[in-house]
Amino acid sequence: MSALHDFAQLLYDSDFGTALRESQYAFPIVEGTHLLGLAFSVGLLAIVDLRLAGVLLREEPLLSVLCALRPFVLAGFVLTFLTGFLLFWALSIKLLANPIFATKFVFILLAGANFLWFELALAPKASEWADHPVPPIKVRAAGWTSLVLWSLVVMSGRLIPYLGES
Amino acid sequence: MTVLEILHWVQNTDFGVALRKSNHLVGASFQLVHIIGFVLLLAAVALINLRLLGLALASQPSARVIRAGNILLGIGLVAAVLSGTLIFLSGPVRYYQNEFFLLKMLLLTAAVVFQASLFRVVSRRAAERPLAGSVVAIVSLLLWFGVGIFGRIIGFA
Repeated sequence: MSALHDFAQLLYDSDFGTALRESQYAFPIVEGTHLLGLAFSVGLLAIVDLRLAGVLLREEPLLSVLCALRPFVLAGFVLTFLTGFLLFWALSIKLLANPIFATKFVFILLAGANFLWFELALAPKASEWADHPVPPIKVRAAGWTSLVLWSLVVMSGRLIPYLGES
Repeated sequence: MTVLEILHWVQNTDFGVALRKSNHLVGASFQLVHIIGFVLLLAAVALINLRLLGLALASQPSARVIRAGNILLGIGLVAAVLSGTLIFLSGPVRYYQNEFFLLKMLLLTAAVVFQASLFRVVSRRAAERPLAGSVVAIVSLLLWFGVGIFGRIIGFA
């Protein structure tokens, strides 16, 4: 943990971190871009999840929804993680001291595990379930789990300024 | 009575005072509903407009994609507006004096009016007039994502 703390201190004290933290416009713009990235990553993923859960877009073939939105979801995640890293650069020490920040990463890891389970265990057998309007229970469960976990990630992120010492 | 006087009155009603004096986690819970609603709304806007631009689900009928998107857009908008109203009522005078809040409200009004009028008409005929469809898609994206950006900046102004 102390290596992480040293790294955070290095970022916090760097010229760039300090400038971003104290900037009038750059910091809010990075925050705003983080939100826009979220709309594409978590937001479009929620639409895929709702299709997996058999709730939305039932008439559209599941695989075409999945494949059509995937590049935008991935681009959204790149933007979200890049802007997230910039925000960490500016606030690193304060974030490490905030319990909800660690909670957010626990939810991200769980969402990642759910994604791996879907990719490695369910997706290879897609030909068996992909053409049903409502997919089998395991696929629906993966969709709902993703939807709930990513919502918790967004919510714990929004709570950061409310639960940190200021 | 000026707008500011009305907002001062709203702020000092029992409800306004109760909201302002409530635990800061009450305000935080409104913010949680607000951001979830907003992410849903923006995702729906992205889905609808990616389809209109022919960048996603181009082989599927746009009317079906737009209908599904509109349901999500409606749910997201209702959640964001209801929670947003409560957030506003917790400090109406302060919000009214924030220029980014006013810009956000202006963009939000423009986005809702545009989506319900011109966008609705043009997107129905997007198959015959793809260029017009693309133009309204880009305007819609700029308006709604603009609302999001200005919303996020309010707290820093």
